[in-house]
Amino acid sequence: MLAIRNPLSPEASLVARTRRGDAGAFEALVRQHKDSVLNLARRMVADCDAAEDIAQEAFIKAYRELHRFRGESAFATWLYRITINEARLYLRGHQRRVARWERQRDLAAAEASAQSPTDDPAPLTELLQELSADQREALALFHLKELSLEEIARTLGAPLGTVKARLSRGRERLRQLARERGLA
Amino acid sequence: MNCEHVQRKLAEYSAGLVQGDERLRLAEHLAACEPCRAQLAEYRALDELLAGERVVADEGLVRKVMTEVRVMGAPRRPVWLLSLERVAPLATVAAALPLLALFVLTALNWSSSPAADALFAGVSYAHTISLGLAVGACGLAALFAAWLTWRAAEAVS
Ligand SMILES: [Zn+2]
Repeated sequence: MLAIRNPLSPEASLVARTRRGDAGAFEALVRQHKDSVLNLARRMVADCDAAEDIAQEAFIKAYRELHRFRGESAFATWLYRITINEARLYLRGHQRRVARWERQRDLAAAEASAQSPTDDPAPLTELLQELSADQREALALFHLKELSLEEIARTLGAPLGTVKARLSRGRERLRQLARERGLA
Repeated sequence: MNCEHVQRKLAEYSAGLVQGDERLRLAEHLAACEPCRAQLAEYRALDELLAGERVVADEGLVRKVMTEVRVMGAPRRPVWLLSLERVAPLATVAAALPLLALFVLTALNWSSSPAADALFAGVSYAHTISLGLAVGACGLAALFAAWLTWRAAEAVS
């Protein structure tokens, strides 16, 4: 599908100014997207500190890799794709760490008691972690309330019907889980 | 439309992902059916809860990113890409030269001048084949180099 290019959009001009070395222009881009990127990361991994690290890393990677941004999509969708990739990397590392703990049971037990749930300020964000990664990614992008279904599909590099199915099943599962936990 | 069908569609419906006729028929059923409406309310409550869990990134995030970015300096295109851009036009020209040579040789061959006859006197069929393959490879290389140049230029825009 042909993407519509608008070289005169304010965002495109911020990207162009960043490329010419104007750090202030990049700061404006960071401010524009910081909340969305952080929320996306948070819904992907639940952990607040990890989400903040992921958001930070996503912006830095976007800056470093700006030559790869070809303006065929909105800067935001490109940035969200980087954020999701960073979150996937984190989760993969996290799984490895968990597996290591499970091999060393004592350590695992100690770890579990060390991070016993404190007062949970975001129960639904926590609940998202029980969905499959595919469903969680689709839901996290959907709940930014910024992207159309087509844009979500393009960000995830998946067909429209697939994304729709992931959203639908994810929402259904989330409702069931919330019911079981007495959240809804 | 029975309740089972409606409830299977509610996850999509409540997210605004059902359009047209089907949306109307679902709305009609929901208006008349209390249990399905109750389930719809659950989806709405979930969406509200999730929206309520939205966080705001504080100034710290901007500061951390910008500190790192300022240390990095202006975003640079990687060295391999820069050198490729420099080399690609040259490679295109260099690869195009044999094509030009073949064209000239072919023209000479057909012109059947005494000079051309002398030039092609010792050329065998195998020679011609290998020359053809070499020229074909050069042509492909030329196309590839041109494509790389175009892509690199595209990435800047
Ligand atoms: Zn019903």
